Amino acid sequence: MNPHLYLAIAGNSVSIPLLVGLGFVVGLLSGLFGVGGGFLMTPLLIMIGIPPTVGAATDSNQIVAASSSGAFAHYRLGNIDVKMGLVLLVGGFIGGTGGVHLVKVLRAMGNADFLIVVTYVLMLGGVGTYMFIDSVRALRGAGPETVVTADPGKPSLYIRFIEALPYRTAFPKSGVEMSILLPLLLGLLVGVLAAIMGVGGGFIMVPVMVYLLRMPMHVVVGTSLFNVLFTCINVTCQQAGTNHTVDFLLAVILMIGSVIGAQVGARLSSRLKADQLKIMLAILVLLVMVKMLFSLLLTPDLLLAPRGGH
Amino acid sequence: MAVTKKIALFLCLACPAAWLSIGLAFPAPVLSGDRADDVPGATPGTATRNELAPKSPGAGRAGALPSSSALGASLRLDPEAVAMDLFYNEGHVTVEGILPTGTDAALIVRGQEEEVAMGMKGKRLNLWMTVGTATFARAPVFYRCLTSKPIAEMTAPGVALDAGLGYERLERDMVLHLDEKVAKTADAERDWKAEFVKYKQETGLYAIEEGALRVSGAGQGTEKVRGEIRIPARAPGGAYQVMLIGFKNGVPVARATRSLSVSLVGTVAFLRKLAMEHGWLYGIMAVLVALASGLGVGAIMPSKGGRSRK
Repeated sequence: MNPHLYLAIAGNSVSIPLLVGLGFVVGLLSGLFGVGGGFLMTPLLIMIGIPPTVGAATDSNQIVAASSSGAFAHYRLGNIDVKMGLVLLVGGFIGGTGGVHLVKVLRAMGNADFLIVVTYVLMLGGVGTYMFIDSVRALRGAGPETVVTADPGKPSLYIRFIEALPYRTAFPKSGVEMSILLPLLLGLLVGVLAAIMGVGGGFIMVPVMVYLLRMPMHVVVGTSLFNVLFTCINVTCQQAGTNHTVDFLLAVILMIGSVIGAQVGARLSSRLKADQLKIMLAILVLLVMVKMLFSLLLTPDLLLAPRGGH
Repeated sequence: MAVTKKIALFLCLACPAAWLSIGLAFPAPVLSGDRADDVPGATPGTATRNELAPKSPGAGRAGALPSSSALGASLRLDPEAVAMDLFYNEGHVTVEGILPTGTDAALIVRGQEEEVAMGMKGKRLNLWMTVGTATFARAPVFYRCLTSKPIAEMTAPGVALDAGLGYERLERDMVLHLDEKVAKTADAERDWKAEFVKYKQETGLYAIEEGALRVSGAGQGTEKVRGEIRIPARAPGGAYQVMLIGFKNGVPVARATRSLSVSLVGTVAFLRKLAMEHGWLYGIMAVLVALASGLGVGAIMPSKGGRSRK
């Protein structure tokens, strides 16, 4: 018994247990590692035969459910810097809208799927390598890397750059003061990536908040989820309205699996060491990256691919 | 695990129920792509312009057929309409026909013709990427050729070509337009047409099944032909032409034609229509249901948001 579900937008049928299982695995990883899972979900959807543009857009829809649940929990705990979140959000909206139109233009030129794969390879490669090195360093006893170290007497180039930016304002919840332009620009960058990759941007946003905006960790996760939620709402609407690539039925089935998987993962995570988990995640991320890299390097089985709609 | 059960139950009930209720609230459309009278020559019971009409000098020698009624061949399809619903995976249409005794049987199933733009993959900077666009016209969206024995044993290559058996006829009728970035040699055109057929085979939309028809004596100078047409989930909606041809001593002597309707129905048709014609509304509804799911889960589960994040 292997019931299938016909996906109206993807134009194909997919095994329901396979989709639920996929959602479960990504949800499990999400619960284990505290990541959104979107950066893994889209490549996995592509691997099971969902068109890349549909996979990326649908993933945004699925993340709306996952991140709203998490953001709600953090809001009740008082872990969201609403002011910082809103500034990042404005940048994310502009970037997300621009990213969706960029995808539309590239689809017309036939390069959208290539852009998605290249962006994935670069982002997964960067994040996976960084996490791997950071975890190995921590396991060897050097301890996790803390905030960027800077000689108080000789500020780094980055410090001098952000201090030179105008329109400085205080973010009391995070205990930082900086130009409003910095989170705006960083939000814009994450918004563009979210639209191209079909991810909420959490795995990019968290390092950005910790290392570039220097926010305290307990506020970072809640604010990131808050930001991811609204970015994905925007991207889902834009993709549905502009590219018609959101497959809602696919998103619902994935949600069922991922919510259950996240609960199991959260329980498992308390029994494992954090650095071991980080190394496992880093290896997983790098494996996905290598698989996608091969698709750019090895001769494809088919030299023709659908262009535009499906 | 009780929480997990609650979440699963909520998602199972709330999300699909919301969409199904939307589907029920509106008249369920039937999307069949081009209707029978929109398809060139697709009127049930008659041959289309592509089927058997001689296209090349000398084609009339063996390719021209007498009309079906003159030879008394008959064809029956069960069912005559394939409905793609929510749980559609693959449809099966039983074929039964009557041919004169001593004939070999061939069945051709053709979908409506399409013009489709495909991205052409090539190597640039040592990476495989889309390097141009190939537009294929006068190619059927769906093609199946079922025979009672190998085509080569049934008739001569020229006759098979004129009768429409095999991919050579599809490649001959196909009109290819390459964009200006790609070399336009005769060899290149032939290769890209062959690549298009290969792509269609890989997606399950083109197939040749030699030996898939069973022929048995039916008495009174006739024989009975039986077979099965598989309609995969990827098959586009529309009016498909089904033609049974009888070959005697390598020459086509009988034929009968029927029309097969393939269409999206119910919730699938509703979602497809909504997504394509009212994309923004579809996007907003998808977001609202995802938000309801996420916030619903957040409301029923214990507040653990901060604990599960690393």
